[in-house]
Amino acid sequence: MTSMNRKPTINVICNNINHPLLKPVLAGIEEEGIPVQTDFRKEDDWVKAAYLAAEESVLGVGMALDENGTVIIHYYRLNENEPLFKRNQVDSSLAKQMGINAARLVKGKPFDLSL
Amino acid sequence: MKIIAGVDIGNSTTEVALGAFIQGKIYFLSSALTRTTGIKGTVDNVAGIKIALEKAAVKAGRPLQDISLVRLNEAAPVIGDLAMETVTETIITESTMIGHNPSTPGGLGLGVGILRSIEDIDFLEAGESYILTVPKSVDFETAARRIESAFSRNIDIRGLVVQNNDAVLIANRISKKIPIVDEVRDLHLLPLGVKAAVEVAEPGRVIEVLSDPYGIAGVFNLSPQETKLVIPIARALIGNRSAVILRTPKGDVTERKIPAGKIQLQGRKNIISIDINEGAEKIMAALKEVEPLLDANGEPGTNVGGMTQRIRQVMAGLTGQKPEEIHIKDLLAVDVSIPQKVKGGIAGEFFMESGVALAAMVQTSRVPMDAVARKLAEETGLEVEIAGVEANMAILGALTTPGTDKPLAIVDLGSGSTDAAIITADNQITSVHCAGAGDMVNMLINCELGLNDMSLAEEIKIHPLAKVENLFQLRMQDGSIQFFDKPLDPKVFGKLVLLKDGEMVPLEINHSLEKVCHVRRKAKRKVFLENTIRSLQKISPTGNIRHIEYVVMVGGSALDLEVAGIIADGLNEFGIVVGKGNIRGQEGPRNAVATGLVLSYSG
Repeated sequence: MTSMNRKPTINVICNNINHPLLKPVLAGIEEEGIPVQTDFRKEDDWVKAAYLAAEESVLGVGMALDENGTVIIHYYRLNENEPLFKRNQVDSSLAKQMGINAARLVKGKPFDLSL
Repeated sequence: MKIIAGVDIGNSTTEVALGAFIQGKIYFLSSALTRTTGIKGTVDNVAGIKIALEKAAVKAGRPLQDISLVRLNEAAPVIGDLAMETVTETIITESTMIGHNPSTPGGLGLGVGILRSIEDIDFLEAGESYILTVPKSVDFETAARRIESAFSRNIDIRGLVVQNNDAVLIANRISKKIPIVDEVRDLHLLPLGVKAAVEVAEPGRVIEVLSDPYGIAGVFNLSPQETKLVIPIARALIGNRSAVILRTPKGDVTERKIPAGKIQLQGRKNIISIDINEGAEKIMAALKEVEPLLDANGEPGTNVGGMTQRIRQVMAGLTGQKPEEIHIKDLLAVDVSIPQKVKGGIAGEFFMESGVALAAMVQTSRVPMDAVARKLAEETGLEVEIAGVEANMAILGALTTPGTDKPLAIVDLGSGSTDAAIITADNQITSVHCAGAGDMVNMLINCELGLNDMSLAEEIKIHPLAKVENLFQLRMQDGSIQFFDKPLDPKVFGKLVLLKDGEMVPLEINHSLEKVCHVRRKAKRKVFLENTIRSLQKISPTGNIRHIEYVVMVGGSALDLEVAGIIADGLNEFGIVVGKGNIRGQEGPRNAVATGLVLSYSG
């Protein structure tokens, strides 16, 4: 279905590699020390995309970034239409925080909910 | 038929028992409990008594006016007070260290060099070693690029101190492995140009060099004299995964002993004066030597002097006696370690300071109970009398526990004091009051976990703890796991929670489950077990605790299963049979005194 392989990673989906929020999201995940892989494609339903990314992730965590600044964190054990976090109008510092939180979901550490 | 109400006013709860007296026999109708209003033994109590009486009347299905007689306990004229004094204080003059432990430091190892800003990287020269500061205005990619280009000019950069949460990001983008500490909020306070050391350990490990005084001495070429001064720094850094230490020309870290003062213990035969700094064990040993304690006085002008003075004044105001007529009849001292913010720290560092917590028990000639009785009679129109000594009533009530018989000792684990009484086979009753109970446990938990919130300390004391391990599961304090169908609130994810009435209350504290459980248990043991043993020794007919066979625990704190377990374990050593009271076979450890007040009515 996608090009994701079965490594223990958080899987991130967005429309293209130059998505403005991709870099801070990846930086947040990297700072927490969790591996990540990305896939670029067009989607109509980004919540569903995040869920599928989570299902495919060995760590069970997927993220999706739509074209309008919405960022979604999903977890494979949640209902498809009830993502863990869905934030609109995300800026670069919130995007980094969300990357950190996706990684903390893997690590079992308390989320940073300051933004 | 007459309806008799027994009312027991305790430090924190007011309890009522309602009984019908028919042809010389008592039939219990109901019981009730409410929070004590005001300080025990003052007319402010009346409001709470009325609430409890009404509750009990409603439960019994009777109007309040059916009560023929209200019997108040002759409250033991003892009141406790608490104080906590820090006996050490660490001060950092100038910024000497950052005992900083960010969640994700980067790189690895120990780096030592001159502290400079990354903004000046182009002016650095080869031949010297440097530690660079990276302010938040410089993003991680720029920082990594500039450091890489400096490396290519042979600039020897040994470590980084970063303001943003970027340590791992920078470490992943540079070619040499150097230690990087991040999330240093007040980066601008660091004095540039001084010698600095940065150390980061592997994940799951702790730093080795900067947490050792000789390690620090080696890094900064310290003299033996100077090495002595860095002991508190080293101590504060033990257990950290990362740290930064700076050496400023006049920089200094000192641990000084605060003159907490001496306390003079006056016994019947001798007087011992002991310094609070000596610690709890020495104070309690001195107390044992002078016993029975007639009075205790703090050295005027010191912390402990202020404390004893305060107790006297409160009691004097309460009883209308003169402060000098108030005598401290018992003390309980407990050692505590208190996390305190270091004066002069840069990243909000904490040091564990040591301190002593004191509970004092004051005895006056009498508590103005008759005023309480008069006001209650006025406001309710009921007949009110003061009946019976508290300890005797408590024994009478405790003996309604199925399976008990005389001779019997009781330990009343309250909030303000721990009391004990014993009744012999020939009905001789001896009783004693000891300073320190549930409120002191709260104070110890509050101090040692650095909560600054007494009601939170109380919650931690009584509710079970758990850790939210993931979105669907909870690990309980005993290691068992509970699963959930629905995902848990992200606000509690990864945190310690209290399980309170089926809800999870997250604790915003940075301690492990084990640490919180340990502090809680230790506080309960130091107060309740120590006081139980002390008080039983005092009431034992032979002075030997082993000669007491049966002990029943009563009072609100006996409801705490952990306390009951700690005491049962502790007394087991002396071959004593101990268990929780179950007043009238149904009330549990509560309502002993109120029940005794009804039972002692003889028509």
